[in-house]
Amino acid sequence: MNALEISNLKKTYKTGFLRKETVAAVNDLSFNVRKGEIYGFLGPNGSGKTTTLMSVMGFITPTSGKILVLGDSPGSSKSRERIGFLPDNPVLYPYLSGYNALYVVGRMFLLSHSEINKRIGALADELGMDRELRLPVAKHSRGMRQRIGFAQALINDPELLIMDEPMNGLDPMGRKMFRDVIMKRREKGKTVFFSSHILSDIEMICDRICVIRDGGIIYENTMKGISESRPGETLEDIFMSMMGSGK
Amino acid sequence: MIRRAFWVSAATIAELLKDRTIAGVFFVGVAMIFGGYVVAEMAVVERMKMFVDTGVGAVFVAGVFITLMAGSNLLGREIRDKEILCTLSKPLPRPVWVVGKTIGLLVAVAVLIFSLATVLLIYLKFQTNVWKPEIFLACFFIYLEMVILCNYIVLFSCVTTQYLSVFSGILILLAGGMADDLKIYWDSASPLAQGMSRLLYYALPNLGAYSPGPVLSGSVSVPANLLFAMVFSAAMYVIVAVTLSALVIRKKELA
Repeated sequence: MNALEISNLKKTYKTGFLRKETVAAVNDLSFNVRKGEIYGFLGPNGSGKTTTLMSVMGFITPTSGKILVLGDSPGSSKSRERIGFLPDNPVLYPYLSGYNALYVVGRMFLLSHSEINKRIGALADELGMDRELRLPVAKHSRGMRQRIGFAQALINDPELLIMDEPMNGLDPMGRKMFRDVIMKRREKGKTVFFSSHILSDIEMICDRICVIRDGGIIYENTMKGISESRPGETLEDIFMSMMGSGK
Repeated sequence: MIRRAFWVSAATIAELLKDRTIAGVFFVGVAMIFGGYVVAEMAVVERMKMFVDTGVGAVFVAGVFITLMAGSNLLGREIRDKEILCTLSKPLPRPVWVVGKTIGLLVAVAVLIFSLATVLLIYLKFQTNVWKPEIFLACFFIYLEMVILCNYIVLFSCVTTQYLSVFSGILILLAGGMADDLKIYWDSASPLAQGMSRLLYYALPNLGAYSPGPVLSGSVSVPANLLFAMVFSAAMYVIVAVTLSALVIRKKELA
């Protein structure tokens, strides 16, 4: 059973003053994310990772292709009730305190007051948040914002967690904490799909990875398959050889 | 969906009331009301009228600034700063988000305008020992005017930049205040002038109708049916503008 199915996804943008030129951000992309796995989505800048994630979330409309998120169309309220999303550089109600921002997010899922407090408390312990909850979000550092962003993505205990560059702006302790939280979600049978540039993190936690370039998949394999087919090489070595050789 | 719209509104109100720029404009408005003392002292006669006119003018100016700043930023900032990605990744349909944000804005503007009206009423009592509750009716007229302006700006901010939506809002405010003057051209010899003036008259909101002047001078009483018509007309503007904004946002690519 797949948590996410993407087939023949294509997204083009019109550019130029007269909007006559067409640029393909994603071109005929197809892959599936199975339930209960951690799937890493890799690629250089401008390869189409964020465009794919935005299409999956229903924030942009694909030019063609089909996406199914937990069996529903992207952007449907039904699927969003079961999804957690962490965008790149998350910003959430800058003038509200971290607690109030999370409280409002909890209310979007129609959770009760006591349930929200319980979940915020649990997430504060899990993500090591204290000052983050008291200070206005606008006064947070990048790492603190990332934690609050992570908490808002987890507050509904999602079946599918989608994240765009979740490790950005985090110190090594923060990255370890993020990895632990993601692994714990897998143990609970949840699915995690995320893009990242930090290959060592991907290597440590992912079950499967996919590498895209110029909007298309150039490599997809399980971590076990990678270590068997290319013993002794790190993910970084493999990634660099793919980018350098143009395969 | 109503509960979700309520929480979007509540967050919007809290955000707007904590926004330092808007708080700054509010305090400038309070300072302008207190500045009415200087104007009143310079007046040879009608000290009371000078107090009231300066104070209501201050409420209007502060209201316009708050409306322009908050309205142009309401949806635009969230889209620009990608804040919307966190918000709309929840089970919150885009039209509900637009409705919630707009209601939040209208409530926040009401809180600020009626707070200024209260400051003016108390200051007036302190300075002249006269209660003048008509100030609230005058400020209600100003509020209705701001409601219409708010919705135009929110609609413009969905399709253009923040600066252009502020500029368009100022144009609407100026042109809407002079909408009645367009009737002069209805009897023009030129059919083009006739057609254009009629088109503009019906397209522009008649903001001149919301002028608080006659209420304050006591020359005109406001019958209930006129008040109802004014509220109804403002509500219609809100419904049309929010519907159009929701349609634009529904189709908008957010990344």
